[in-house]
Amino acid sequence: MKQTTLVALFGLLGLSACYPLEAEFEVENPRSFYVIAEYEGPYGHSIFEEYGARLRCQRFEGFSENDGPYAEECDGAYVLETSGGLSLGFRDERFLARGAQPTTRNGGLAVLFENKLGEGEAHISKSDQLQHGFGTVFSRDIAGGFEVTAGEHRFLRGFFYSIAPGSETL
Amino acid sequence: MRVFITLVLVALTPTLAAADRGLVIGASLSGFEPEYQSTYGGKLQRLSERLGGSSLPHQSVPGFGTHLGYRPTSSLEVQARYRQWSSGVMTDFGPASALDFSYQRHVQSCAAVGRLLFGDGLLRFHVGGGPAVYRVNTVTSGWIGESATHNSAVGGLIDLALAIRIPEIGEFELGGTSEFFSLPHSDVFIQDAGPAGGTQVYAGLTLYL
Repeated sequence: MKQTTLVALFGLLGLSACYPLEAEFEVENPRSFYVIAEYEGPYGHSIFEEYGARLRCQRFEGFSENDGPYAEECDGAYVLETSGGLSLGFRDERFLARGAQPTTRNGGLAVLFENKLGEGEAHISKSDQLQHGFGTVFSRDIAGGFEVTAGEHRFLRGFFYSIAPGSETL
Repeated sequence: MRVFITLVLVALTPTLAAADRGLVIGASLSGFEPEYQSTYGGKLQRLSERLGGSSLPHQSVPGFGTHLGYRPTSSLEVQARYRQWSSGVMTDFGPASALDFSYQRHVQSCAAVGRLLFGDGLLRFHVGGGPAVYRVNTVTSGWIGESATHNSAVGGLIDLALAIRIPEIGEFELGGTSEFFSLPHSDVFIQDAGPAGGTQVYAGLTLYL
């Protein structure tokens, strides 16, 4: 079951990377995300760091139009995307729920780096649903850590967290 | 106003007092606060906060020190000082315990300190400073990796203290020390090279020998 889920998610991510789905299937968290990890691979040994990563909900087809953009759960996969080519997809429904628990190794996690599938682990340490403005826009304040490998590329000691609008980064 | 200033200057003017000349020896307990802009004093702390972790105070471990001094006059002291302290960041991410990490620095310093001692009453004011050698062991564990590194650095300190004299016996001191030194080592991820000093607040007891 887990393998089936992962295969489906990998396919979903691969598809989203190569052939983006319709915009209506994607809902972007208005917050930007900070991502930092130690990188080891063909590009050397360095720090992978990005301040403008985005988190979006990659909806499954057939989602309910009545669901809010960040209703209790994302009916699909959350995808944390960096412009540096690293994407982490979180499938587990518990993953981003209030009081989220850490994932098991490989549980519900899909990794893409430069369109290469990878594997690894991720843990969510914070997941709060936030309400902005007049109660019509929701986003999640999410943070956690990850370690993933995609081909020869390794990302170690990784952290990510959402950046509050107008706040300092790190 | 002139009278007040004159009185203050008189009070602070070094004066001779035979009882506290000669050798002195003492010990102190201290708390250390690293520079907030240093990696472990600020960056890791903020990272922990952003990730929703709870951090133990980074000056949680009391420091300890001893000193041996010589006072050729009651207004001047040269001191050989040893101090050790630990500081760092320890995080707890609760259910996401896999992310827990710890960054600890254990510092030992040996300093040659010159101090001017002002006042001849029960209350005295000490000010001084000098060069120091620092031996630093850095230990990380948890999500940020397991490592242990050793570094040495040369730096210095500035010291201010208020002393309460115990006639014929010694002095009880409350003071603050700013330590200045920099470390060359840098973990590629933590990037902890650079200024590693900070401020110590201490309470010490000095005995006249």
